[in-house]
Amino acid sequence: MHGSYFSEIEKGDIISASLFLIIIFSIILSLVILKWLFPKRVSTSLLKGLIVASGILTIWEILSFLNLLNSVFLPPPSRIFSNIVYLWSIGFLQPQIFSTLYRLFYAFILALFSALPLGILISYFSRRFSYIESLVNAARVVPAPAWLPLSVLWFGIGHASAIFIIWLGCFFPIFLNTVAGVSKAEPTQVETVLTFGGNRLDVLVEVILPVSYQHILTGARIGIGIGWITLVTAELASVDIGAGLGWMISDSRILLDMTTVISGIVILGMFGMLTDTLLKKLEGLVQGWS
Amino acid sequence: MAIVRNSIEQNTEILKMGKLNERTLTSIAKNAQNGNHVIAIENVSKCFFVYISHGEEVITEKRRWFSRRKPCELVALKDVSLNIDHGEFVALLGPSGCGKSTLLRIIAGFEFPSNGTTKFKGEEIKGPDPKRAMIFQSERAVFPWLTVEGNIGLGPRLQDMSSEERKERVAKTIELIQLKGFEKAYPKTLSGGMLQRVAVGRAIVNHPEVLLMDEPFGALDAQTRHSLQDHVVRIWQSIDQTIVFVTHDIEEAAYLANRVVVFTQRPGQIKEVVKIGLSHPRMRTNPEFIEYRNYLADLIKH
Repeated sequence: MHGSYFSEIEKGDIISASLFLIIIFSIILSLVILKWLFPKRVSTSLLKGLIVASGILTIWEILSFLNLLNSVFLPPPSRIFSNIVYLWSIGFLQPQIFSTLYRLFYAFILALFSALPLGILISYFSRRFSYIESLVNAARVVPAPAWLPLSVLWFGIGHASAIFIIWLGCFFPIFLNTVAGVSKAEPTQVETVLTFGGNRLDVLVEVILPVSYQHILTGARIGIGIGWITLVTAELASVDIGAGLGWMISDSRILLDMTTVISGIVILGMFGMLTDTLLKKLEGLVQGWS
Repeated sequence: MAIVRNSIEQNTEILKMGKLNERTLTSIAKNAQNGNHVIAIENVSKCFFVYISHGEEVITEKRRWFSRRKPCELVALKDVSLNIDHGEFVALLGPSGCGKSTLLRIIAGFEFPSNGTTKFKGEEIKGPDPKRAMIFQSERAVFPWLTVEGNIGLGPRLQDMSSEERKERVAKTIELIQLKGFEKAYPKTLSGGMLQRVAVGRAIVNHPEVLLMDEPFGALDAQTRHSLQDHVVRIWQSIDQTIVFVTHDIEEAAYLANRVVVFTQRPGQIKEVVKIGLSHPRMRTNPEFIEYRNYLADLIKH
C-alpha cells in the first residue's frame, strides 16, 4: 500500500504553488476585511498569528518554487497540504488519527484515575510525602521511552505497551501537581469544615478539591502535552498493528517520504493545540473566584 | 462640657440597657448555683516538644521516634482551671505565645490537654463539634471559592439541614451581620471587615452554644476593628450565647468582655480573672472603663 500512495503524490499535486499562495492570501484578505467590518467579532491575536504563519508559509513556498530548498528534504507547503487532502481522500489518514487519539486518551484517562487518587491519598491522609519524594523525582526524570524495552517484554508488541509508555509520561505531572495542589489547603480551612460538623470526606469535597482544582488541571495539561511527546516513540512499539500518526511518521521516514512525515507533524501539532486549548478552557471555567 | 454630656449619655444608655444586663446576670448566677458550667476546665496543662531540624523549629505533640536529639519541652499551659457559664462573654488576655490560643483550640476540640480535663456541659470534649463553633484569624479561612451565601451556608450544608431551613437561616444571618446585597459576592471583592463579618456569620448560622474567637480582628485597622467589636456585642446581645474571645489587645478585652482572664508569660497560667462591671454599650472615654483598662495593662506588664 505504501508504494502506491508514495508514487501518486509525486506524480500529481492536487494544487500548485501559485494556487496555494492565492488561497492563503484570499483567506488573510477576507479576515482583514471582516476585521475592518466587525472589529469586535474577529480577535486581533488570531489575525496577527495567522498573518505571521501565512508569511512564513509564503516565504517557504517561494523558496521551494525557486529551487532554493531541496523538495526531497523539505517539501513545499502546497505539497504537504495536497498530501494531507490526498491521504484523507483515500481513507488512509482517518484510522491513523483515530488510533492515535484512542491510545492517547486511553492512557491519559488511566493516568488521571491513577494519579489523582494516589496524589490526594499520599498528600492528605498521610502527610508523609517526604518519604517517597526522592523516589518519585528519580522516576520522573527518566524519559518514558527508556521503559520501552521493559514494556515490550511485559505487555508485548502492540497497544498495551504503547499505552503503558504514554501513561508513564502523563502520570507524573498530574501526580506531582495534585500533591502540590492539596498542600495548598490551609489548616484553618480544614479545621473550619471540622468545626462545623464535617468529617474527613467533607474536607475532601469542600476544601481539598476546590483548592487543588486548578493545580490538577495544570497537571493534566502538562501531562497530555508529555503524552503527545511520548506518543511517537510509544507507537514504535505497536509496529504490528500498523496504525497511528507516530507510526505513520516513522514508517514514512524509512521510505524517505518527507511530505508524509511533515503531514504527520502538522496533524499532531493541530491536535496537540486542540487538547491544550480545551483544557485551558476548562481551567478558565471556574475562575470566577480567584 | 463635652465630658459632662458624654457621661449623661452614658448614664441614659446604662438605664436603657439595664434590663437586659440584669437578665443575663441572673441567668449567670442561676447557672453558677446549679454547677452547670457550659465549659469546665480543670487543671489543664499542655506540653509540646520542640525539635530543631535543618535549622527550623518543629513543634510536635508527640515525641519523635527516630530523633537522636533530645527535644526541648515547651509548656504552653500549666494547671489552668476555668469555668465558663452560659451567656458569658469571656476574654482570654495575655502576651503573645502565652498559650491562650492553645486553650481555645483545646476547648474547640482540635487539640487535647496533656493533663487535666475539659468538659462541655458535663461531657468530656473529644473532638470538634458544631455546638462549639470556632472563628479563625486568617482571612483565607473564609473560602474564596464560595460566595458569601455559600460560605454562610457551609455549616448547615455539612449538617444535612433541609434546603428550606438552610435558606431561611442563611438569610437571617446575612441580615444579622448586615451584609444584605452581598449574597452573591465572592470574598475577593469584600473588604477585610466584611470578610470577618462573614466569618462570624458562618459560625453563628449553626446556632452554636459557644462561640470561640481566635483574635479575629487582629489584622484590621482601628476603625474597622471598633465597628466589628460593636457588631459582636450586638450579635451577642441579640442571640443568647456564650463567647470566648482570645485577644492580646487590652482595650478590646475591656471593651467587650464581662470577664477577662489574664494569663502570665509562658508557661501560661491564669494570673487573675477580672470582672468588668460595666454594661454594654461601653464608652471608651468613660473614666471607669479607663480604670479597668489601666488595671489590665498593669497586670500584663508585671
